[in-house]
Amino acid sequence: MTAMRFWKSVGVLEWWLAAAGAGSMLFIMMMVTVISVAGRYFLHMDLIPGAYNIVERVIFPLLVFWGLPLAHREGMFPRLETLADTQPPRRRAFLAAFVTLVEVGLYAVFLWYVTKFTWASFASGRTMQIGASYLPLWPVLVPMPLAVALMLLQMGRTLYHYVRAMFGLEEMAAPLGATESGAV
Amino acid sequence: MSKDLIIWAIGLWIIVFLLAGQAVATVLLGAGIVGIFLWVGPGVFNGILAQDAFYTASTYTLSIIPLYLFMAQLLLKGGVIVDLYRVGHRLAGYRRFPLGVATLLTGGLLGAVSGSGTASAAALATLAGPELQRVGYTRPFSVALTAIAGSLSVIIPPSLLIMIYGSLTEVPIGHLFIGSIGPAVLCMLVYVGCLYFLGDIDEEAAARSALSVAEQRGEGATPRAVSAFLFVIILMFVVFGGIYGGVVTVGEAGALGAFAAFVGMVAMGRVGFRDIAAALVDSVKVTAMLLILMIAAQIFSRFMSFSRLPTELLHFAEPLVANPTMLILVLMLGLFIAGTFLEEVTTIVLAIPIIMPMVQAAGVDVIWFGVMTCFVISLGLLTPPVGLVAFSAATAARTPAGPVFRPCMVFSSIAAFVVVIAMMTFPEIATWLPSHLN
Amino acid sequence: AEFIISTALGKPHLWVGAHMDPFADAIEKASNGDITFTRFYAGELSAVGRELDSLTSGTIQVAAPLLAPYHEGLFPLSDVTQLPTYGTTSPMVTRAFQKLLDSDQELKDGKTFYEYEISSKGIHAWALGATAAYSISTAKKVLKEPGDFAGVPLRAGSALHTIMLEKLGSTPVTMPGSAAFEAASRGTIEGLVIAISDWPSYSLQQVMRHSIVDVSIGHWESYLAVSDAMWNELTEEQQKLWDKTAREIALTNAEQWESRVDTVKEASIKDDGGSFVSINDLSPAMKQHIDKAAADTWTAWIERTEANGHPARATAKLYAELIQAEGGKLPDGVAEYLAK
Ligand code: NA
Ligand code: NA
Repeated sequence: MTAMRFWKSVGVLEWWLAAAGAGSMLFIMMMVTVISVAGRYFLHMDLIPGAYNIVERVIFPLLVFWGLPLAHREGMFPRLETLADTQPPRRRAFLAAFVTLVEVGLYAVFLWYVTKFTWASFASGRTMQIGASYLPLWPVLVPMPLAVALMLLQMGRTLYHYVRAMFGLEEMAAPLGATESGAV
Repeated sequence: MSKDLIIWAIGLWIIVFLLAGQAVATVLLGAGIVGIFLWVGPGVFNGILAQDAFYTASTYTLSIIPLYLFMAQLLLKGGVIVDLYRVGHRLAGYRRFPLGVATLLTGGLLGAVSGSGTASAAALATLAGPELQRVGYTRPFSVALTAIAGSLSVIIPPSLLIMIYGSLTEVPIGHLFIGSIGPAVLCMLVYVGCLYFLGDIDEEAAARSALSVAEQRGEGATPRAVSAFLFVIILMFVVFGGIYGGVVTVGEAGALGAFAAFVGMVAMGRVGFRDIAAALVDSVKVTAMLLILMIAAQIFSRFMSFSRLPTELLHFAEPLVANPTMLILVLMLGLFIAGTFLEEVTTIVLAIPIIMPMVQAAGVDVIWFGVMTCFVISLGLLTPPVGLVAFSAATAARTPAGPVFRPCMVFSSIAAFVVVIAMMTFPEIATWLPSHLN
Repeated sequence: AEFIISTALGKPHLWVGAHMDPFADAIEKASNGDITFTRFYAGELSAVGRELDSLTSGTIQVAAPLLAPYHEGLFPLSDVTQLPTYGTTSPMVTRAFQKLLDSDQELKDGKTFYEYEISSKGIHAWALGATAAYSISTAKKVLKEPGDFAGVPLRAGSALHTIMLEKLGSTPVTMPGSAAFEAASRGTIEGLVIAISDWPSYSLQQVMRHSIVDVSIGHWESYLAVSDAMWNELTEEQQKLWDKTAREIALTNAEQWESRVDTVKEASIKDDGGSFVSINDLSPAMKQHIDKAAADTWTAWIERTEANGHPARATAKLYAELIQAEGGKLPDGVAEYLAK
């Protein structure tokens, strides 16, 4: 497989995780709540027992960790864009490479611990409570190291481009626009 | 390394990496990881990093955020914003001040069903900007006014900042939503007043645009536009009526609102499958981005707890705690300044762990305080250097941001001053409605 | 030496103000300052249900309390005090639970209760003062006859409550105490199972009006826990001091739980129009319905927990003996079931 095709399939995977995975979780979360409320007021019964736990322990975490790699890839994480963006390209490339290198280091540490936790939870049979029953937690945990790993992969790739730009081997990408990096 | 030195080093870490343009979430994650490493060693990572990541993303109160985002996204994709403005425009005609007011009201209405200001401002800037210019406001002022109108989405509930404050402090979000209605209305009135007295008018252009009588009445408001307008009003009542009437929780109101928007937009033929999918993906992306920020902030605040900095600060601030009025004024000034330099969500997740101990020690009402805090921080959306809403309006209107910031600065400073003073003199502005919640 | 003592609860909670703080004070004083604590409150360092992770990773050295029921599935037998009983008070349950922890009776694979629940996890633990009895309280709906339970959403604080509520015919909704107030005032839940003395912690006196008393939907127990790493740092003398103080504070804490029940009840009757009906004043059909649900809860809990491979039957039997020795009564038929 060529490098090009590899990155393309990573991109496709991230998009599907966010669109089909996280997107449908959001839709399901909405419907679960609507059905619960409707059951309560019209039928005087709980149509989805344990709905609160299901949303909190299953639907919402899946939504977050499946959506994370795409949000990261699209540069949506807010950052302060004042000083660094006004620098000339080569210096900007150097700064960006440095910052990304540190970021890679941090996320590598982060990945190590989330993977360790997920594995330990699997090995020790850590459970979550849904209604009156206990279910294994690991299936909900697995997307977490997966998300961090995908982000790390993306960071590695950007780092490579920044380093090349630092040595003038390619053009430095333009800074992200303000609207792309805002939370509200 | 001495304890003091560690605190200084972490402070420096934050400043350096923020300025170097690292993502805020990474800055906080780094400060947390490095800080904890220096303070207690890496052993405790086993009990903190993964658990904070998972259990933050497994918090019910935060799960309501994507529901409100989805509702807003559907309305946006359904083109409701255009119709809201059309109806307002129709009522105001081509008269200058009324059209300005109509722009603010459109922003306000939109705000009552949306929590995100940047999208509202960008849409209003392209839509209303040229019209405002046509009636004689200067170009920078026209764009600034659309930014101000857009920022109301964050000030008027439902608001992302309030959801985050509520989830960080465990103050009921429903009460905060209802409590911020009063201050938000007051803020709008202040803006209307500012518009009346401080509107930048290009006299020449105003005189030049001699308009026919027919044109003076403004564009036609089609039945389609009116129905969209009515739909938004109904949706507003579903959400706030549901919360205020004690029928549903704030999370359930979000789900019902999103569902109503979904059914309404599909029934009116305003969105197709692609729009719905896009609305879902956009909401999910923003949620994921907010959550990584919350996770990083959580890990950073573990370091803060280890260092006992908030406790030390509380000790240091004892004279202020004894004088709550002074404390609030100092905090609000600090938050307003922080809000101008930092992104708003970052401001609130950083500030809350530090200031809440003081606020609680001073016996201040946490609902009232939360409403005021979110209000003051959200004004930072309009102020340079990091005024995201002003930026996005300027970008959408293809105008330099500098001149747009000036009126934004003036309006938001006046609003901050008036609303904060009013809320301190008459706390009922924020507390009366929530105290009558069922 | 200096140790980190942490609670996920707020200062007003009786397990903080009337347990953690007096305990830490007593140890600091009696050890002449050889042991000191840095105190963290309200989940600053370790949130609800995460205390065990924090202890074993060294984030904290003392969890006061370690909330066992929130460690989803990790302390399967510790829920035993949540089984429904009649006539039990906080001090009675506290003493019975202390004896359960001290018991050398083997439950499974040669392990005692303490060895099964505590030793294997890298911690040392002591009983806290048990909460006052958990009661069923509702906001608007008055529960008079068995049919009144049908489909009514009630908040369950633990897996065991969900079983009891299912047996009563209502629909259990699991959520943390902090979410209960909003949910109750919105009708997401109609009422809840909670200790009446705990109402003020969650502002519930503002919404709860009708309570059924004199039947206990169990008492919550939990642990004062220290990491093995810290325990081994202490001298033998310090360990003795610790053990003695932990036992004493648990009992004074229990007294405070019990006396607060009356304070909260009286305030509710006087200020909020609250009513507290004894199970003995309910219709015979209702009384029987609740009694049957209580007994079924014992069998259901035992069977479910046994199915997960834990010695629930032996634990329940031992606890039943201990709580009866304290003067508590079991629901009809439970003794016969356990004897089988
Ligand atoms: Na809003
Ligand atoms: Na700003």
